[in-house]
Amino acid sequence: MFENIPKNRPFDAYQSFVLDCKLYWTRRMFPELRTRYEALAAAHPPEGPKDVAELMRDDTTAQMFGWFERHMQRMKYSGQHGLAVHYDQYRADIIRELDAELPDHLLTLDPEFQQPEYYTSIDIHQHPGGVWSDEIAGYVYERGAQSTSPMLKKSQSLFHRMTDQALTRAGREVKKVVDLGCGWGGSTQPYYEDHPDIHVTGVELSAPCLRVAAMRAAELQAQNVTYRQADAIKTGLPEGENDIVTSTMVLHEMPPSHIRALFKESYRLLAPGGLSIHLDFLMRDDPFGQWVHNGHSARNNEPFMVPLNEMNIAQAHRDAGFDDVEIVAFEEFNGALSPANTAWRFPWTMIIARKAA
Amino acid sequence: MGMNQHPTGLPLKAEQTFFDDASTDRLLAMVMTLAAELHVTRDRLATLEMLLERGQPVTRDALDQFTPDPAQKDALDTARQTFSDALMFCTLGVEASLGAPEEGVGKFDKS
Repeated sequence: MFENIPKNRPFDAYQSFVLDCKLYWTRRMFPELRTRYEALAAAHPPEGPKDVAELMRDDTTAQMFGWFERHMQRMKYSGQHGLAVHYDQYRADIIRELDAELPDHLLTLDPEFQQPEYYTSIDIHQHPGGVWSDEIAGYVYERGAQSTSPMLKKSQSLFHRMTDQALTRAGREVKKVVDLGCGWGGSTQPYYEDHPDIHVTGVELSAPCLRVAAMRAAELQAQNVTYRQADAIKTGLPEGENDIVTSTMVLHEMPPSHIRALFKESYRLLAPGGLSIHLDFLMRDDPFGQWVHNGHSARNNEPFMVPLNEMNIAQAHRDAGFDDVEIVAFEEFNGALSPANTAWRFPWTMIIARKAA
Repeated sequence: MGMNQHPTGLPLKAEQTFFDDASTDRLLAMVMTLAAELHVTRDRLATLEMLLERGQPVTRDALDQFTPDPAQKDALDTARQTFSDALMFCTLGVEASLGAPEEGVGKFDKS
């Protein structure tokens, strides 16, 4: 699939260079920033992220840190050999591939679908036009996801880890799964590829992402996956049938009203005893970490990260019908949570709840 | 690249800046744009040399589609990382040599 998109050494060289600079930012600039913060905080201990912002306001390393976070991502997508710029040259070839016929069962698109306003108003990840407005946006997004978390060698390994967590914690035989906000299908694929007895339904707003997800499934001749264009807060799927309802990196892209609605939809979709498990980013009880996280939210065009981080997750789950919620750190690679790992990382967190049996 | 009209037609948002003077933000963007292009050019030159060393024809397609063998890949990766490390090291403000003490040099004067 997409074999007719030619290899291009200048593009690869540029993207590798940008990734190297991002890795330096991750491994060298971030620890240096923390060291400088700790020196300042020793004299003026901050109580929250606003205090840290004030403390670091004139720090040149902090200014550099912010600049590089924003602009490495801009260069990745929109620079002279950025993803969006590069693949635009092959637009016709990519669209021809995306228009290939798919097995009927794989994909249901809704030609009348109206995207929510919050989604069309912000270019998440600094992807120009978002991941929905352009026919090739799903393909570009999939290509870009290979270096979203620079400490991860393969983005796919994260999805496999999350799938393992969900299946282990389900505590029952799993037959049906719903993957909310499945994007280009990275989080859906481990279910259908590695677990042929499970049927997984991927739900997503973006038709261009769903086309890529369905094509990848078709390529693997998967019979146990269905992709559906719908809002994760109103999937239109039958209630009470699923053993697991999950999402990966979705909550922080939604305003609080929609996050609460997603928890309610998760509850509705689950069979009694079923597991709700969402992987996202929470950074609490660490003013420095919150300051960095809030900064990332602004710099990467993910403004709902902050309200998610401030939300009473347990109460939102109780309001949705769940009794308990467990918030657990997620180790995206071996050693990620070790104190020896001083590099920047996303504060990966699993939000887990179970519908009463 | 050079986009001044958003693909959806929506108005673009205000510039995000990080330094006290926005001109620093813009100049740094120019530096990094040039650095990236310099790396692409250095890589082009290195791969051209590798093609010549193999005795293969040097054409635009051969350069665009160049696939290094493991030893060549190591050499290209090392060159890239050495350059990006040197470039990014400049962001840390770390001195490479000892200057005079902040309190002055009077203590050295034994007269």
